[in-house]
Amino acid sequence: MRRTIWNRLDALGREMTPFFFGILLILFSVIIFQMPSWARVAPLFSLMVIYHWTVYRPDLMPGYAVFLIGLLQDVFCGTPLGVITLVYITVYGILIFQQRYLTGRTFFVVWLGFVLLSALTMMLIWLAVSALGGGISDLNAMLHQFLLSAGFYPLLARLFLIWQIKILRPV
Amino acid sequence: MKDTTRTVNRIAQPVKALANRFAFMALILAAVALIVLGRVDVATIDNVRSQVTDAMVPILNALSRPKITLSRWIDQGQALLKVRAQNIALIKDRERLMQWEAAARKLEAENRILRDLLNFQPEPAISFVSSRVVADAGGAFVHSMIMNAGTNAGVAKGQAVVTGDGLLGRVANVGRRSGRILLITDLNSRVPIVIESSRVRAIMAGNNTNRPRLIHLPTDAVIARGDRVVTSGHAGAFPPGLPIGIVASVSDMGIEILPFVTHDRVEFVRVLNFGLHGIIEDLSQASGVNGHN
Repeated sequence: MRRTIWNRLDALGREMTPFFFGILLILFSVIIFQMPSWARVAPLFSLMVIYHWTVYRPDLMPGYAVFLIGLLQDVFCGTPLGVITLVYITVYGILIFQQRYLTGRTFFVVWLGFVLLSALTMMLIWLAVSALGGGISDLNAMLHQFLLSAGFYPLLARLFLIWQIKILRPV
Repeated sequence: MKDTTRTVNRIAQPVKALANRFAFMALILAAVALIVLGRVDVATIDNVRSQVTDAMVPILNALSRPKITLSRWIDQGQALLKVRAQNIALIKDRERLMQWEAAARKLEAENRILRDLLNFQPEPAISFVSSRVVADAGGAFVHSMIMNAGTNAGVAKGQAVVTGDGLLGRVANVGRRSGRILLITDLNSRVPIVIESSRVRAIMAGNNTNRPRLIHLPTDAVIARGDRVVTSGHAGAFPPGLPIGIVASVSDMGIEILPFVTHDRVEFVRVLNFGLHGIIEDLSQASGVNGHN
């Protein structure tokens, strides 16, 4: 059966949603919540997006999408441009190697993978920001951000899984 | 037929893997190039950053409004509960302030007479732009905010940003409709300060915590907990006398400042234009202007 142009557009629209989730969640993490110190410890949502889709649907999270998400995170955070981009691309490279191992595992193992990867990501960003900035950056806020990220991941992953089943359907 | 497919696969897969690896390396290199470019050509990178922020500001604007409305309702509810106690406190405050007003008026008159006697040149008039904060960005690594006013409204890089409580930060980069505020608590922030009572001068350096520290203190400086800290106006970066905070602790680890402005509650800011040129302009010119202060 030949696919019509509408079929293809429809599929393309669906397949681009993971990337747009990334952008939407970056915006979400910088909006002002009237919650003390939220902005300082807001979880790294963009990393969750990259991790989840790279593990379950690597075809929908290519390298350049990771690059763009990292770049946008840089622009909004005000980190030196390229720092988060470089870190994200690096951890994406590591993740691609482990992707086959992770896909078949239980959710707990996948979660554990995220915890390890986010720890690595934050250490790398911390190193880069401290090296390029004017001194040692505070570790306390980073620790909180890490814990929140680890805690938020199962929630977000559940939503992504529902999305994957209902909207993306196997191509 | 099957064999052909297999052969094609056998050749195609390593080629694909190679292409993937190449694309991956290209992305890594691009990111490194960006970092290097950001160090070498600050203006271009700043420009790109403010263009993207400009494009996103309408979205942030829309997203931040319902939240602000909601948080206002919560605040109003909380305020209603406290109204009686507040009223009593306010009446007391008013009595006290009436006395202050009388004192202030007396001092103002005296000041005017003394200025006339000295033939004192008044400082340049202050103009300001008010703006709403649409994003509190940066996470654990950078302390910055995005506001919805840019060069169209007369905001320029380097200007001081204050709230009703005191100094919040300075304009780090600016687009046409948006501006990024680098908070005084950021790792890259350096503010020349003076201790209000003892006139000891120092630099306040951010460290990505809520308590920036004092550096470059004179060796004989005596600083006590609770001392008020204000901008000194040196280097022409900030106008003198803007309240910053109080000394929170003095220890061997350093002197920590508790800023008056807590970033959590910031909704609106004022960007001050004191006619100073800021540290990024020609330094000699800036210190020339600052010479009066």
